[in-house]
Amino acid sequence: MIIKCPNCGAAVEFDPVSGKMKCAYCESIFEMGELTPEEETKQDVTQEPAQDRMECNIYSCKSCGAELAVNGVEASTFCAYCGQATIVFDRVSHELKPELIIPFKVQKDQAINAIRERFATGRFVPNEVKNFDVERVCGIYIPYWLFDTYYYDRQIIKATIRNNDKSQTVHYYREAECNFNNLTLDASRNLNDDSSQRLEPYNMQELRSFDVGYMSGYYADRYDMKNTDLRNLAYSRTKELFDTEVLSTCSGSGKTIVSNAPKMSINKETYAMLPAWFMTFRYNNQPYTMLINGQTGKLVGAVPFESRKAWKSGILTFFICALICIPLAITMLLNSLYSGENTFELIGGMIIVSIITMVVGFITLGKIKHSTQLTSSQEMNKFAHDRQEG
Amino acid sequence: MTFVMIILGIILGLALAVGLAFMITMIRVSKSNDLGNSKGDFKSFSRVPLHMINKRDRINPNKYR
Repeated sequence: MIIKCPNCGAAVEFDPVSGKMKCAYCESIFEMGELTPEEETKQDVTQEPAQDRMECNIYSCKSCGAELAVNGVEASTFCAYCGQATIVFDRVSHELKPELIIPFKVQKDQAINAIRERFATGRFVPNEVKNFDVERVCGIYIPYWLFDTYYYDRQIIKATIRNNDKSQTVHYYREAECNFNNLTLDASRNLNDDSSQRLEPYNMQELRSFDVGYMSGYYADRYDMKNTDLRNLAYSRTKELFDTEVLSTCSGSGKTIVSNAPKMSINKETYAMLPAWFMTFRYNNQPYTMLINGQTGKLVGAVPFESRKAWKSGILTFFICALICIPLAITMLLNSLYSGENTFELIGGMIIVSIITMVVGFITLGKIKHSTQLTSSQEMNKFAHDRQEG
Repeated sequence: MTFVMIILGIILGLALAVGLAFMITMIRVSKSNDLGNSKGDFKSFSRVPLHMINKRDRINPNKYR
């Protein structure tokens, strides 16, 4: 599919700034839907109702297995996901036409600059990363199923509250219901769910009826998961959102749902395309792919931290903490000794606090490592590799 | 006994300092290097607040099962 400029014949692309179609050569501007795509006639494809299908070039990556649709003017020699130059344009396909789309609002330069600026302020970002060379950046419309769901539940929640230094177990009863709109679940197996969920939230007020012109100049990932494949995920995501909200209405710690009777229904399922920038750079010979929400500009991804800087900062923080904690611990212990309070309880409390802080530190470290793995394309490769083997 | 408490205070203070320093450093590293690690929350997908039909605190759980 190519949309050609009626004035000069060059390719026309969607312009995120004006929200209209713009000729890259003569800079003529056209309203959405004003121009009609020029159809290619070279492939024998399954005859489907024209209003449900759209024609796309499909490329497949021999490295990571990704399959992406490319519209018209975008010619690529790199895979948008893993950055490898091992892609093959192999066919023209008739793809399911989305009902809705959020057009790109963030431009390519804005996306790159946002990452550069963010890395520049990162205290533990390695200098090589701060001065990264962009290996590849491309805008991709990610296929999503948008679910409208209804959830009702009656729950008994157990929690622990502290009263005058004594722990007490209490129970809460909550009966509530809620409608969720446009719950976003990505319909691409190539993109890790964790990564796509981090791109949230999109501003769904800006959803528009799908027009193929919006895709001109961008990639579009292929939809390879049906709405029926994602219903269980929609259920668990709805439950997670509902439970978190209900638990926030209860006070205390260690809140757990001990009894419930949920009812859920899916009211609507809509196929939509949502925009994201994929920017790849190399660090230590490994590609890292940062994602940028193409509408809100939210940055997603993690880079390895510089150990030397982390050690320096850690040692400095340790000395400051030691200057405060040692006198505090000695004072508290001596006070408890002379006032006849239970010293063992105090010692136990200090040991527990020390362990908790270490555990929180290790959990945070684990999250950083997980995010870094998601960002490095090895994770994408592994995902594709596992899927091919499975 | 006072001497023992002082030594114990130093050890426990050091343990607290190590734990706190590690936690604070990791949180700072996370803020610096891990971008956008949150996902959409309740408000992202629900236009209206949760409709609470019935809400009771400090209940006897056996009566509500």
